[in-house]
Amino acid sequence: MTSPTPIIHVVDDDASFRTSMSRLLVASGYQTAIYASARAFLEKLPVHDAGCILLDLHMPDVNGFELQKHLAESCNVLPIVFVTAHGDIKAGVQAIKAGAEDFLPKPVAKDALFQCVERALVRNAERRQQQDRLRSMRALVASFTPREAEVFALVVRGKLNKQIAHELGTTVRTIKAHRQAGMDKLGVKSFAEAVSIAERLGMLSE
Amino acid sequence: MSFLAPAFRILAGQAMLALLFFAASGEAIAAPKRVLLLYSFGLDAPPWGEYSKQLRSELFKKFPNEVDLFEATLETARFPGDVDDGPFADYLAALFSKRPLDLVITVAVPAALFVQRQRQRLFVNTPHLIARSEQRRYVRSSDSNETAVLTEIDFLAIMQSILHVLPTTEHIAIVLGASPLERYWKEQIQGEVEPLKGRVAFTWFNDLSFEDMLKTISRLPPKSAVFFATLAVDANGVPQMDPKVFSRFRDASNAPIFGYEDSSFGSGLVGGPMLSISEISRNVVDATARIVSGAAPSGLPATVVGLAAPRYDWRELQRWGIQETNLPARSRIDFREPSFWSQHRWTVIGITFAVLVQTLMISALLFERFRRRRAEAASRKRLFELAQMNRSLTVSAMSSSIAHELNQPLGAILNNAGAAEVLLSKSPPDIDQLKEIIADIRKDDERAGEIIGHLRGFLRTDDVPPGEVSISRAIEDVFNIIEPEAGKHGISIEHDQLSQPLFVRADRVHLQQVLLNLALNGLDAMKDISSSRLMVFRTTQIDEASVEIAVLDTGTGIPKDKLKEIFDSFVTTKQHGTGLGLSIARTIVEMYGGRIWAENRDHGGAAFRLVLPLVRFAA
Repeated sequence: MTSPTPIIHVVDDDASFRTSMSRLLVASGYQTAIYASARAFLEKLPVHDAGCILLDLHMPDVNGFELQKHLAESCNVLPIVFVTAHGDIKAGVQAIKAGAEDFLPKPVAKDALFQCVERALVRNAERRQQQDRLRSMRALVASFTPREAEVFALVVRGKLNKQIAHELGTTVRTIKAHRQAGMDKLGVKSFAEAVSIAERLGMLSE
Repeated sequence: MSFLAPAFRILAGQAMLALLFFAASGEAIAAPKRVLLLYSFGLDAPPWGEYSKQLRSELFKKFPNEVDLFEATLETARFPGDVDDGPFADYLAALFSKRPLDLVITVAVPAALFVQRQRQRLFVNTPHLIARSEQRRYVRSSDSNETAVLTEIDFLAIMQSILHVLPTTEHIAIVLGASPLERYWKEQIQGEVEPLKGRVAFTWFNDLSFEDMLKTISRLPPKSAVFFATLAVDANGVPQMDPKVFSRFRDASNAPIFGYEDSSFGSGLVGGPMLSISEISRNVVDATARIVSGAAPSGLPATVVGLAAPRYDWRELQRWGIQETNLPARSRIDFREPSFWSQHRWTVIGITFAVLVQTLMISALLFERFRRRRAEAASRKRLFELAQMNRSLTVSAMSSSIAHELNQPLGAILNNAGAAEVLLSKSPPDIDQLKEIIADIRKDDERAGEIIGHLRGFLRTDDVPPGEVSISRAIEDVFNIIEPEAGKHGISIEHDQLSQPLFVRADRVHLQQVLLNLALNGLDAMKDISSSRLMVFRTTQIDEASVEIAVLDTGTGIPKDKLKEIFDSFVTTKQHGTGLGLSIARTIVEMYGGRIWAENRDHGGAAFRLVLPLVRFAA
């Protein structure tokens, strides 16, 4: 897996501010993309998933929170850093609770901004890495035969082989064989590891 | 018997008395008594005209319808030397030979002498009454059918009274004519005033012509007085018969004029002790009555009438500045002009009262006006203070939004500065971009300045006279102030304006304040609305003279029962409102001759509308 150049997305309805922000970041070696509104950002929803979003809070039409909420519902790996002129404690808490990476009041000191951007990029890298892992695990799970999948789903929920065999109308031995085949496909040694993967893939809540 | 007719009409007792009287004088009333009044000088010549008038009126009063009165004048008295009585005696003889006279009254000495001379020819049995002869000139004849009413003129007393009245007098001019009689009187007077020699100097007019007399009298030295004795003929022999002679002297004189004949009293004579014509006339008429009723003249002693008690003409006293305290005791003052006060007392009191009442009323009204002005000024000041407070409150309510709004340009500036630092650390630095950055910094700095400027203008406290304010400019100003607040709540604001600019006469800040109060109400009403949040300012020209500004929102609207009262003070629908915003808005709108009202919109939200008079521009 290659490490692509991160893009800093600047979403702000204040033209002067977004231009200056972009200018500062570019001068400091970052790559940026600017958007005049949340809607413009959504329209060009980047496929490129390396980077972060510097998001204004108060914007006409769709505001920062709404965009944050919308992104949270999709598989967003771009950390959101709010940069707002109207920052107050209430808004900051709301943003952080909703998963924002940071909440910066305008004007932002250069060093603080860079630190924040760097942290966001690290978080982004983590998220991407995690997403890659999940994606590969999901691929492994997808390689299960239907019977293996059935058995695996029951095993990770803590069912005993005997119960599974009874449920599926087969023998304990057959179940053991499917179970071993699944563990091999996932490349895990222990049962606990298998449960962990299942949990991360969200199979337990299904 | 016309005489009896009225007598019988009176009461019985009086009728008896009357009958007794008639019986006693039965013969006297049988026929009218024929009386001749014979004058010495012309009838019109002063003072004889006055004697004629008085005698006639007294006689007619005493003997109504009972006297047949003839008047004649000798005329010859003023001629110098001896004159022939003949023709005049013939004339009288022709008149009275067939009509015997019952009495002849002669006025002044020449006529008396004439009668005495012609006694045997003309008036053999006629009683003779000598009137108005100075006792010095009277020569009593042996005639038993004659009696007299004489006068006595005390010239010294007259002169002394002049000096009494005008104590500083040093010179007295004595007006006397040139006729023999008048020359006689000069000597008489001269002799009489001898005791005053040294005290006062006398000038005699006997040798002056009338014109010279006037000239002299108009140039008398100070401390002079004039004594007008008699003027029948002047030195040129011109008889002075004109009744206006005295008034010409009076007009010409520069000194007060005194005299002994009261005929001129009231027409310029100062006064003093004078002969009273009416007193003389009364005495003459009394004697006449006795003679006519049969009394023998020989039995009637001659009466002497002296100078009457002093009388003075008030107007002359005023004219010559003579103090009333200088007048002799028991003097009488005539012709006193009633003072303004006694003449117009009630008018004066009335007018004074009216003026006083009016003055009081005017004062009261002025005071009231002053108080009202002061109250109005105070109330206006309060309004401005309140409006100012309202603006301060408005601004402080929005201060967080506005302060944050400042962070936009400040943030951009900081970013640009940071970028510039980074660019400068490179070599070679990107000059073009640095230029752009500096331009942007300047722009943002100006923007920050504007944000503060809007507020500062709005918080102005000084009272400026209203001018012409562009409505669209005022609305833009308000937008500048509320934009951060609107943005914070995701509220869109629009300005639906006319193509041509409209102007109203007002203080710009006041108009802004009205619009701002309405705008903030609209923003408040939309904060908790989840549907669309839109505020529209719409300007509509109603007619040539007025414009409507509507502030439309999509908020919660106004409770129906509060549509009217929200403009009252301390009425609010908000949890934290002061209840003053709309009240102040209404006061301001009405101050500029407009009106304001609120209504709910059909599809939700409220509409505030205000109508203001437009400024007319000369076409």
